[in-house]
Amino acid sequence: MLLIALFIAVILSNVQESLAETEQGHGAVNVHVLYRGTVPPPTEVKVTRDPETCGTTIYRQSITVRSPSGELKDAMVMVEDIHASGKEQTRTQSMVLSNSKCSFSPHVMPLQTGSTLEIQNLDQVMHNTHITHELRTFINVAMVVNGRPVAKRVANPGLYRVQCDVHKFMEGYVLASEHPYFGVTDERGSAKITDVPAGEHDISVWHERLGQLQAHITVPPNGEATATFEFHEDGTGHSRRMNR
Amino acid sequence: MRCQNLVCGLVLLLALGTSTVVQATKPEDTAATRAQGQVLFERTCLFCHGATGQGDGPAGWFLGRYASPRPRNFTAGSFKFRSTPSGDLPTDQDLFRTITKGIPGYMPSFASLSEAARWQIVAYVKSFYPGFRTETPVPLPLVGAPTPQLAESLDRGRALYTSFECHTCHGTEGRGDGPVTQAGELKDASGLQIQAADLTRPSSFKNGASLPDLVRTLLTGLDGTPMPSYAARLSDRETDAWDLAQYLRALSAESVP
Ligand code: HEC
Ligand code: HEC
Repeated sequence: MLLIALFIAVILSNVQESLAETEQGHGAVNVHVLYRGTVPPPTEVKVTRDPETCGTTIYRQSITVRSPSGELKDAMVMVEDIHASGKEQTRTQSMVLSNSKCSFSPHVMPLQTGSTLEIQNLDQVMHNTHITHELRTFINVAMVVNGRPVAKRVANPGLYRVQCDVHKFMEGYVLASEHPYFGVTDERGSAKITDVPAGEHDISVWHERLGQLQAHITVPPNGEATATFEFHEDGTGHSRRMNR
Repeated sequence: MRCQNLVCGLVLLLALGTSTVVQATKPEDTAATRAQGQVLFERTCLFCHGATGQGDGPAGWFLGRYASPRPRNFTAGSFKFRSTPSGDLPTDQDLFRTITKGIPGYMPSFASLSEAARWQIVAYVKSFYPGFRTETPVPLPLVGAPTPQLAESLDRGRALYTSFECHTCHGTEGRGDGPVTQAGELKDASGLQIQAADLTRPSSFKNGASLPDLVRTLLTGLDGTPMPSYAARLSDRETDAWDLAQYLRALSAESVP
């Protein structure tokens, strides 16, 4: 008897939940990321190896902004407080990370856990793609000239650092998210995250040199929320938000 | 199965070689086993690896404080001597082998402990990293069989050493003096400077210097160091890994068992 009652209760609560969800709906988040301050000149790195492929000098620009508006490229954006329910559309897929002209392309790459990272080498020199997650090696593979790509599934969420031990100036980042609500800013400093469950959320922006900023937003059902983040030269920053 | 006697004999030996060190007295991984392992660990390993397994024991603090390698931090979940793909955890057998054989130059062999005691320690070492409870490490297959040390095998091995650019780190003669090593650019997982191994001194190889040991090193790489895995490169032809291993053996006149 008790069991049956419980069973009914469970069904009821499930119904309520799904009702609530359809009522709530989904919205989009528009993120705009700006950098205010002088852009440091690129660091000049003398290339000691493989100049025919890598060039003799590498200018490493760690902050890419569009002047004069200061729109910041390559900032990774993520909704912080959502846990995957298993019901949402996933974005797990095969993501290609290339060793190309002695740099990693793309330089920063957000992806959903469960995705496969496919590493390839387009250069005529050997690279070793060495990826670490916190203190642990995720993979360290020799990418010889004309070798086949190497694929590995990304199981754990978090920030991964990509390096090449043979070419110290090469670096990249992979951000693995448990849910599909993430993005990365383009040349215009914008990223759009769609189909976010309506309601209040914390979203964060991470940049390899400038650090992290967070904002609290409300996503309206079938509408859009906008958040503008500003990183400052002195290491501070702030955010504005707006709902439509 | 048709094969030449010599080759079959060697494969069999390999199989025996791994299975005799293993199994026999392996206890279940229970709380009691780990507790016994802890007692042994605190008596024999704590001095270097520290009570919390972070490689910060009283000796470990001095050992490798300024130079690689530090005693392993077991909470990081990265291990050098594995039979598993790059980035994967070691198998129980891998840990057992490391404890049994020790690490030339850095860690004594603990073969004097009973097998049961070594297995208990393995269980305790694994308890420092939660991933051991959720992941199931699977060894990479050792494909093919040792090639007899023929001139052709050595030539193929030399060609692979060149096309795989081992010389970048290990030097053309294998003396551990490649340009990247000499530039001081190689770092281990704790950011400490690390040297590529001197391949003309096999007795210093940490992961063993027998042909199957070398093939294992080449397939798996040494996690936490720049030494990469060549598994994807060595899967094209079954003989490649063995040819390369033969060539490494020939780099030195040192005789190794
Ligand atoms: C004299 C100091 C010392 C003692 C004692 C010692 N170790 Fe180590 N151990 C080391 C050092 C140093 C390393 C790292 C070597 C390297 O990275 O090349 C290491 C590495 C390891 C590793 C990692 C192997 C791998 O695949 O990465 C394991 C496992 C290990 N030790 C277990 C033990 C156990 C268990 C004991 C006690 C039975 C023990 N050690 C005692 C110094 C010590
Ligand atoms: C990016 C640099 C790099 C490349 C490329 C590289 N190695 Fe290594 N290798 C290392 C480093 C560093 C070590 C030392 C690791 C340690 O001491 O823990 C090492 C160690 C070794 C060892 C000794 C393992 C042991 O048991 O101690 C062998 C054998 C070896 N490498 C062979 C090769 C061969 C063969 C190639 C080419 C197919 C190669 N390496 C390519 C950096 C490299």
